[in-house]
Amino acid sequence: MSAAIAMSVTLAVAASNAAPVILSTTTSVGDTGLLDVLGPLFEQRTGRRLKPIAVGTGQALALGRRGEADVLIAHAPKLENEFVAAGFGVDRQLVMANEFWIVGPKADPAAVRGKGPVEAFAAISKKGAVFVSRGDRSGTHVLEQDLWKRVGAMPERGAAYVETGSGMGKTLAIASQRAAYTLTDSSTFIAHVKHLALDVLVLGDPLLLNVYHVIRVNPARHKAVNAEGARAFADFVTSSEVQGIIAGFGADKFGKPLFKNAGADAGAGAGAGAEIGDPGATGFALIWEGAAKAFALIFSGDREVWRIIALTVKVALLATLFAVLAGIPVGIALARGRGRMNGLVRAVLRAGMAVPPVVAGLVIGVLFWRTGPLGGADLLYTPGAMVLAQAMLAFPIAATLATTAIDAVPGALARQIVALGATRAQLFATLVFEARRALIVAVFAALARALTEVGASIIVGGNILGETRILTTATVMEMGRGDFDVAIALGIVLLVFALIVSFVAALLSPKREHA
Amino acid sequence: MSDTVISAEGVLVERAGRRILDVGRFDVARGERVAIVGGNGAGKTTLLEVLALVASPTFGVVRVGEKVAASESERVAARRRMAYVATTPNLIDASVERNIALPLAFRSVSMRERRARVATAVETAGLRVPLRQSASTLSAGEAARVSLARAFATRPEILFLDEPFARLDEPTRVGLVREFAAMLGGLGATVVFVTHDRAEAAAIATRIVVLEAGQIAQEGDPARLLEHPHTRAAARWAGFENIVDGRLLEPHAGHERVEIAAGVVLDCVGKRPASEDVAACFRGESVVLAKSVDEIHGSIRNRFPARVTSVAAGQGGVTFVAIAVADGGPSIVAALTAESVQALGVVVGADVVAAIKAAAIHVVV
Repeated sequence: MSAAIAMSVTLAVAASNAAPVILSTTTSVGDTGLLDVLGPLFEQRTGRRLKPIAVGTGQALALGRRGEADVLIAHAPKLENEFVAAGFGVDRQLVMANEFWIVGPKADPAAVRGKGPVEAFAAISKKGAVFVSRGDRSGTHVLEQDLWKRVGAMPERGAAYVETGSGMGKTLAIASQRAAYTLTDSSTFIAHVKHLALDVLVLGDPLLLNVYHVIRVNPARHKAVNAEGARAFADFVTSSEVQGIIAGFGADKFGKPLFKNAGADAGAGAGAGAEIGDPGATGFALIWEGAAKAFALIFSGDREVWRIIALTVKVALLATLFAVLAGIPVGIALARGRGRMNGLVRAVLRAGMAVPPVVAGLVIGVLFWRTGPLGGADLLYTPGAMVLAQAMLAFPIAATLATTAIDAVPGALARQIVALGATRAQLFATLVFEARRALIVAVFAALARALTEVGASIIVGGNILGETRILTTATVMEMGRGDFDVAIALGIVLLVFALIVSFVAALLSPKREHA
Repeated sequence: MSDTVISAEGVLVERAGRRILDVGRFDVARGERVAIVGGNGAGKTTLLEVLALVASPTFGVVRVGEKVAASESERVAARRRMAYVATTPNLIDASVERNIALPLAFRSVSMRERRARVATAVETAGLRVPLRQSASTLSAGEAARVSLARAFATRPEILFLDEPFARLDEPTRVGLVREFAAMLGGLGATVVFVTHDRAEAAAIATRIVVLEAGQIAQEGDPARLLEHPHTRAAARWAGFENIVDGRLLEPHAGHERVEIAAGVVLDCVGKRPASEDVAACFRGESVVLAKSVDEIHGSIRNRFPARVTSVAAGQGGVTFVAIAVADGGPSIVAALTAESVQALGVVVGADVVAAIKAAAIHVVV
């Protein structure tokens, strides 16, 4: 008993003394829940805390290049080899493997079932069937690009080739929604299959082997790297104990293990793609580069960028319009009304101002899923869904601030307006006129909420290129790809918008004169 | 056909379980100018708001021109025959012109007609500021005039005013009140107004209604009310310095009698009230003080010993002398000229004899 206490005290001290180990890993590892098992065990065995950051392989490697992570788990062998060859990483070791699968609708319109992966891709392309791509420079995306290269014909972006710029789970959901084909790792697919209307159509080809390696970030390159911690994790994850855990992981929940361990037949890798250059700028230089890129993006006349900007504005303005059209009458009703319900509604709306966007996105997502109550509307992953989600987020702000604005109009003035012979509509119009300065603030607060949120738009919009990609979701995606300068550039464009909005607000509501 | 333009019947207003107003019947005839007076919390503003159809009574009805406005559209139509000027100017955050034209805009009056009416109203209200000026930059006096002009512009049949000048400083207020009587003369409207100012009420009103605790304590023409109060509230309003609680005794020799202290009984004039809980009210100048009973004129029936408790100089050479009636009895104020005070040698603690003519004492409830 006392020994156990002494042990845990020692561990606690060790844990608090040792710096945490930052593991940059791929979403496919994160999405399966493996890290949730390995994290606590690592801490128990080594007394070190693990901070896993689940991102795409592109960003995982980019973080490693910058020394922002201590150790990586990646699944794009060619990129990894280049990463090590360039001196950014050391000691690459095999951890585990699974497979890539080509999945698609049960009906299989391109008849790819049982074909090889290259033939399958060729058939999809020839048939013009819809294919959903990660488009995020993840290991999966890299392999997909390699397969298209082998087909010799890269499909054009459009209705038949959809880029999500999102993780595997999200991309599978979109493929299912659209009855489209996609390339997935087997683990994520098994973990998500019960929500999907997709079948596994192509599997078991050597090209589709998916191997995960652990790579320590080269401590010679970056002083700040936790070299000891990285080594401890690399040793831990390749130890026989953890390898045993990996071999059985997921069997209880999904009926079969999600991964094969390193001892199994996990040989050479697949994949080819982007090059690894220099680690790129850091700190203020990075922000400066981002600013320069922002200018280039805006003034290059790139149609895609302008389409993103236009959609961002359109969606946010529409959402604000709906939020304000509903919010101002509600505000007037609340400000003029009395009673217990009044206080309750006010409290609910106030709380609504703090609803996290992802929650709003989740609610609308659930409602509009194919299997959801409003699935028939076919609204999910369209700008309409984003307008709805943003309006839902902006409405409590518009309503609460409108209530406050009308509350601020003295009761004596409201009674005076009635006494002057106003009809109810004339009274409301006069109250709105009187509160106009505060109401303009309400409108712009609602617009700011709609313009800046990302959590809901990414869930219900899906960040689909040319369809539902807006500035915030594109920024998140570029982050995921490790293109930090583009992310900052998009952020700067967003900031410029905020400034324009603020100036317009100032112009529309001049300061009140006083005697 | 009656010439009643507005009436309240059985109007009862309760807020948070408290009775604010309880008016059995209140009629205003065409062309009347009714002043509603009374202390704070007497229900004056509530009565005005109920009459102007701004506040709804808990029970009872208001008839505007014989008709009860039942629906919202009927209430709007009735309100458009009236104008309401509140204690605060209640202007919107817009130009002076837009403020005055606001009720005309509600009535969809043509732009041309609006301009003409605003010009006339500005003239009548004696407003001398640019029409384009923002209402938020006006002085309190100017704002009060804008509020009046806004009411005048609607050419109301009935004009309600709730102490529109109460918040102004003294010189501005006095100037406006003087002009105000002339403004009303030109308007030809029926006027119902709330005021604290006795002189203003007496100068403008054809009838005064005294409210006390939400009920009409007394009403009548100003001269009669000033001379013959029937209630403590009316006596207070009429400026009686002495309202002394007492017990009503049986009448004697054609006089009502009120005992204000043990052995001190005052003969009074006035109708015998139903209640025994009464007060004798009389003005300070009706009280005569003397050194001894011998000096009192023979015809004065009410005489009693008292002791001087304080002496204070008032305005216009008047000195107020407070006297205590008997031991632990009520306090009475006498208004004396400075000469009398000197001649009597009144000092605090002096024993005196006080005398009051029966005709100057009114029994009130």
